[in-house]
Amino acid sequence: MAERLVDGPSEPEVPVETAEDLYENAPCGYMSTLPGGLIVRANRTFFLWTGYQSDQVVGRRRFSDLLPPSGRIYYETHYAPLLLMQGSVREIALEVICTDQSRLPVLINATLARDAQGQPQLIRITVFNATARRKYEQELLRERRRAEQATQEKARFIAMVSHEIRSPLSAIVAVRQMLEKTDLSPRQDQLVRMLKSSSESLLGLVNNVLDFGRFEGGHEVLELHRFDLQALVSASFETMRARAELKGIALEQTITGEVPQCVVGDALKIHQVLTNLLSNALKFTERGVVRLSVHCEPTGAESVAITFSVSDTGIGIASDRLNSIFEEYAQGAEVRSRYGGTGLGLAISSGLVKLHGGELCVQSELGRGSTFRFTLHLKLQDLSAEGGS
Amino acid sequence: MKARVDSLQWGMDVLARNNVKVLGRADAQPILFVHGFGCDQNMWRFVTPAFEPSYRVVLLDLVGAGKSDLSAWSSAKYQTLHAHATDILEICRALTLEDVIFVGHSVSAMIGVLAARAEPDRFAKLVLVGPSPCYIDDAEYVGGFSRKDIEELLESLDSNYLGWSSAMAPVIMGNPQRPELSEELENSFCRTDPNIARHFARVTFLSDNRADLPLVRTPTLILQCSEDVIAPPVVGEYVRRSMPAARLVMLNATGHCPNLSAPEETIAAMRPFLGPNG
Repeated sequence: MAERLVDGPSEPEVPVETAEDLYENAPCGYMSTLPGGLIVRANRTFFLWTGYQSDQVVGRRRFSDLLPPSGRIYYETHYAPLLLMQGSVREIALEVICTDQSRLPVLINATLARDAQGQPQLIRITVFNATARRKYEQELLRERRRAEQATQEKARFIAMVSHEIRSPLSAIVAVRQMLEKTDLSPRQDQLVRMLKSSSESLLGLVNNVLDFGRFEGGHEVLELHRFDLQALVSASFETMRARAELKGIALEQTITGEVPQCVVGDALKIHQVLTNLLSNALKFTERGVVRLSVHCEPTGAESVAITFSVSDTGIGIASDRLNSIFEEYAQGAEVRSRYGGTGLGLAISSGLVKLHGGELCVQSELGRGSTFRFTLHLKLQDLSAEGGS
Repeated sequence: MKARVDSLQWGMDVLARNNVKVLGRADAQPILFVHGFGCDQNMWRFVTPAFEPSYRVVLLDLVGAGKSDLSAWSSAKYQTLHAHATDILEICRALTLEDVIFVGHSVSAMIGVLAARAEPDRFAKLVLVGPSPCYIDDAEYVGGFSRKDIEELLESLDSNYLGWSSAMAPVIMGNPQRPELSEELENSFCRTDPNIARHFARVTFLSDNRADLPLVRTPTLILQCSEDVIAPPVVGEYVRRSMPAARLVMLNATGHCPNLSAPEETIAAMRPFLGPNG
């Protein structure tokens, strides 16, 4: 060693290795097949891993013959078409059935070689032994499934508890309504009013939790029928009028454009969105105006685009929170402790609007107010009877 | 029923929803190509050019596949193939397609059968490429797979969807925080959302549409590959026997995608069936 250094640089000794050696003994499997999948060559590593002899597969078996039925489906629906379209595929996860019937987890890379005319000639495949990796993957998948299941179970539990709460709560509300109609002393009247406000707020909360659960479970569907648009807008407006008066906030309503008499939609859900947005606006506004504007624009003989917007002169939303306000439980802790609520209202409203093919958007400036807006494309006629199936 | 009407009623653009592309002659007979499980409209790329000079060629991505509007997908709505058939009919209405030639590959062959069953007058002809009305063996019926095979397929999809496979656009697709990832995958074909693909695999491979076949009287051509593990010749023969007006052409092509592996043979087999325009 020392002598060599003294003698000056010399070529390092490179063991002789032919391309054939490398091909046969590389730490991955090599395989070539015809475009139809017939194996025409494979290397020693592949045979070592799988236990096959060359004459058992070369010229006799297609690559997909070495796969279990599930792998063949994946091969035919993903690997083969992609290879023909892209000329290559990378890291396809498959299992090769070995001679002892055990399954070797592999990752496959493949390229398609074409002849001078561009016709597919040969598929070159590298096979990586993915035994350890597949175990890790399976573990990840198991964990993910467990987490998803736990979330679902929790959601189911919450929905169940909410249901259980709603029944006695409805009874409390009914009893309170009956109580209201009796002769009450001023003190009793005051107590009944407290009972009213608490029970209604609790009922609203429970309903929100249940609504949200339906969205999570994908069970929410539209119930379409014709309804009077103006009447719906007025009803939403009237529901909120008393609250606005109580708080001393002006509540305004405008409806502009070519307003159709009737449209087809889920009136109950649209009403729910509007009252939720108005209720939010009133909650977060101390003085000024809350305005509900509706604008109609025909989009053809049979349909109309209706833009609903609810704006207020309230506390507004900081710009860094605007992106997340439609997510469930996004309401800040400070806001929750001061104003109450579950933080589900906007998530539900946004979901209801989405169900109608629209999107709930917000513009806001801190300290100056917010505007929530969405556009629905509604049909003028009920076509649900058409089309069968 | 409610799920069926929502997109129609709410005026969502069905053409955008299904990434519909219209090519060829605007005034000619429409020919509608629908892809199968695992792919998107790209799989017709070697076949459609042959029909563009004499047909109005309509291509689409099933909701949940390719560049369809993923927000239009829900597991509840698309829990059977009927929802996809309804989408096809909505597209036909939106484009006022009449006298339609429907070409469906794999699972979309059955989607075509369901669409033609619902609106027989809209369809002139059906071309079913590698059809299977039921993938699972059932008493005397040979579908080619057991339920266990299908469960295993769903498992293997999970492994492939974990993100190591470039065949699958992993969960990062459409992640607004990482646009560079979407960009990188922009050129790959048959992108899919893992959850949707797994759901579609379940809907596809557990479907049983055998009872629908005798009810479709539309003239039908079955293109059967000689060695197709997904839809073996015995299944193609079953489809032919079960449909009142079906004929079967056995292709030399092997595998499950003759439209990709043997486009010329596929086109040549379709032409005589389609008639003088073909």
